[in-house]
Amino acid sequence: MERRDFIKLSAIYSSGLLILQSVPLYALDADTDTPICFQPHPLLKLCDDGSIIIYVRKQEFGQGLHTSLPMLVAEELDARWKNIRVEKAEFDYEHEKEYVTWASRAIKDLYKPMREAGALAREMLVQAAANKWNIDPSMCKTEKSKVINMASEESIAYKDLISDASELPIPKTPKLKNYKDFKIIGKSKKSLEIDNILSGKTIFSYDFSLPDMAYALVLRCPVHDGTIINYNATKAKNLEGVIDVVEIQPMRKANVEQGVAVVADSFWTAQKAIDLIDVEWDYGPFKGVTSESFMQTLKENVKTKELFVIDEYGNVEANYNESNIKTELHFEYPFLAHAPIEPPSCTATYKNGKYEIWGGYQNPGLASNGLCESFGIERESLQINLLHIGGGFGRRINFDNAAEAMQLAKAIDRPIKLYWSRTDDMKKGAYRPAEAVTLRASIDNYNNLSSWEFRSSGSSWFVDTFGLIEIPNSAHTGYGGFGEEGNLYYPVGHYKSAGFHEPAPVNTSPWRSIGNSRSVNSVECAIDDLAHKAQTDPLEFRLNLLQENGWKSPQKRKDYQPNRLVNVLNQVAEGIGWFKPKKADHYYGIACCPYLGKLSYAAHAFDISVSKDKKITINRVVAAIDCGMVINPDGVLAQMEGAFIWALSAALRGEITLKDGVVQESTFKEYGILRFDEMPPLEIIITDSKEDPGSVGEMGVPSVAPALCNAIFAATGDRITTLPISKSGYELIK
Amino acid sequence: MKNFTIKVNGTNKNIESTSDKPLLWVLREDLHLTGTKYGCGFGVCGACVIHLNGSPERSCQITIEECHEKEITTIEGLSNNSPHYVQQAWIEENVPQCGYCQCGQIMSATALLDKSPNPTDEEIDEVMGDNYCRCGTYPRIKKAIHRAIQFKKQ
Repeated sequence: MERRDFIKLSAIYSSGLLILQSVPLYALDADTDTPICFQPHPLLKLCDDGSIIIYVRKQEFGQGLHTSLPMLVAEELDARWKNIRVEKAEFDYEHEKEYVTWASRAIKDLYKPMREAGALAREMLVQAAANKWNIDPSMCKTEKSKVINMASEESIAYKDLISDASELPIPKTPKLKNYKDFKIIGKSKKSLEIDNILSGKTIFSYDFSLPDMAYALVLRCPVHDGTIINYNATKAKNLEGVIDVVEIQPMRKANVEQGVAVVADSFWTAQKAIDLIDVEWDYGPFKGVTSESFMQTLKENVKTKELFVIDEYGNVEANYNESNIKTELHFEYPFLAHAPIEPPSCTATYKNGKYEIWGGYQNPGLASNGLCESFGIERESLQINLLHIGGGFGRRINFDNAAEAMQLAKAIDRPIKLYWSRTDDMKKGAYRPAEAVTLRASIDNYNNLSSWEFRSSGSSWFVDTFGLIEIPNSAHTGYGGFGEEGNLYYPVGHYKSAGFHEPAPVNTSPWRSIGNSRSVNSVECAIDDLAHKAQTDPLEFRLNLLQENGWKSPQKRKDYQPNRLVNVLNQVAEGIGWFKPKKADHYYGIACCPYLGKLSYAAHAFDISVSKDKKITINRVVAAIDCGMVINPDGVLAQMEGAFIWALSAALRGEITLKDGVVQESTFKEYGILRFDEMPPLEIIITDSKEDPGSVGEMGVPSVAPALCNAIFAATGDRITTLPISKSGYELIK
Repeated sequence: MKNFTIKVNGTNKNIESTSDKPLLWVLREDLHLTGTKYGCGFGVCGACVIHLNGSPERSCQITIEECHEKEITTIEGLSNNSPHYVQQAWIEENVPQCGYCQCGQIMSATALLDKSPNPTDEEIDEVMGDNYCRCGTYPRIKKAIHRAIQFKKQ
């Protein structure tokens, strides 16, 4: 805690629940330079210089949480937005669950707790002012960081009330506003951290330094799970500036493989020294694997293996066979890298048996479990400091870099900065699992789905990293996100979803929108194919399926609202001009995606032209999102823009290629990420909703690839089932 | 090890280094000017763009020896007290998401607008096409550059 703060150590804020109790106020000793502050809640501090500091436990890597979460507090506090400052909450194990930042659920989880923090402070400030005026608190109102006496129109600024407020008991059940009274929520706010970011002051993991720090890079086996037979580092050790060469020990629970680390006076020296090390590798079980051979294995699994049944009802086989209109599609999805512009890094120290690390981790509690188990230490021997993250997308679930840095800090006995180079991350990162899918589906005479069979094989980072065997909710696996949460979102008479896990020849991890980046593509392309075979407009075909018809739905969640999916479909259709006369050579494709369990819905529509030699011009794209209550509209727009570019990049040419077990891509260029000059025109429609807030960050991804593929089908009759589309010879032109 | 002198953001700095060390690591590790980012080390991504005697350079691709007795401007020295007009345009458009690439984006854009105050879309594409952003802020960068052009005119 900072000095000279009035602290109400009272609100026990845990797992999103507020348990309040009154405790005596105390002040720490005086220091004239720092403001006096009042902390009625662990995540909120009001100071006598007028500043209001909001602490955020969720990690920021571009989702805008360091702005949208403070908006929730500021709304209920009736704070002047200019007074708000945001700070990262220091990591503490007691609240570890609240630091978990994944699955686009931060706003959904914290919508109420963050508002309660603001509301309880506001009630205390109002009571303090009412006491001064000797009136009832109901005679007061608040706005712009002041309490106003409604009778006399006098006002007192919050900063002048903190001393009195800190004497008061903390309200047990602070009253929250009706949404109709929102003044901040729903109004666009700029990033609270924008000045620091744009002037280079924000300290990302890669930027952090300690006095007397040494720098390290690791030489890893080019093939996954390879081991060292022997190595010679004499030349590297003799290079000027090299401090030591240290062998990295494998740590399964931290995704660390055996390697050779160079510790030096600079990244540059370490990189030069790495090139001077001769290693004889045992390439291990994956040395012969290519992308093609692994995909062949997955396809064989789908065809011949006994699959793990995720969900099943009715008689799929009989109904499929009896149906006149049906489709059978075989989808292939590649491994994909996250390739955030900031590669992984970690700074570590080791003193008296205790480790301290500085880095960016989406789930620091999970990281600490893996690290403590790997190092055989208790949590009190590991302090985690969280820094800004230069792009997450699922990559920062991994803490391999922390384990490597900790090994080196212990070996060298001085602070270590462990860098991953761009090539390290591209070639030895953790990838979205590849997947093979066979999808068979049929319709009846009323264009209702009569059967749906989804068979897939892929890998799961949960299984590969943590040794978990089968998880029915397999949004994380190669089973395509089908399971309790990811089941088919169209009603169907007879249903089966099944998968087979194949250990990946690379490390794997979640990737923006997890299994939905594949499963929604399979579903939406199959639906489009059935519509075509039924000679029905693909939009009308979907709308017919989604209307209430009493058919059995695999989607068991009671809070699934198909009408909201209908709305976003209609919005993008109208936006693209679906039913208007099309210009010559313009072709449209549409797809949609509910993010189940997170209460959000999205759709995309493409308008493209395709030349005879498969050159694609994207004339326009319209996206729509219904994420319930919108906190920061500009933030939602930013996420939809970013997710579109992310997903389009992957759909067009995203692929991690294996040859002899080795990843072939080494920079952004070979991986083909979308460039500034390739951005097609995009329009975004946001539904103004009063439903509870749902997901945003991942929502804009899943329906992009199928909408594009369906547009290509409309233009060419070519049903693309292998991603990226470059594998079928298609290419984007400006 | 050799001694080099560079002028960084108006201040002379003496650097002891091997001749082949890229300026990027001198700035980041020796001078702790970490606004200049490492993204790829191959001159592909543009996260490390600085101005060398007024011209944009990828600091991972130039050695300290090549910078000897030259003037370098990094993001930290782009403006003194108030934001540079390009930074202001970036603020107006609320460009950054994670923010990691944005200093490089701004250094590329300022160099472009210094040289060509009223660039065509093709010129903008050519320069900014070599700066990658993985969060997908491209539409906003485009808007911010157009806004910066207007700021400059006013």
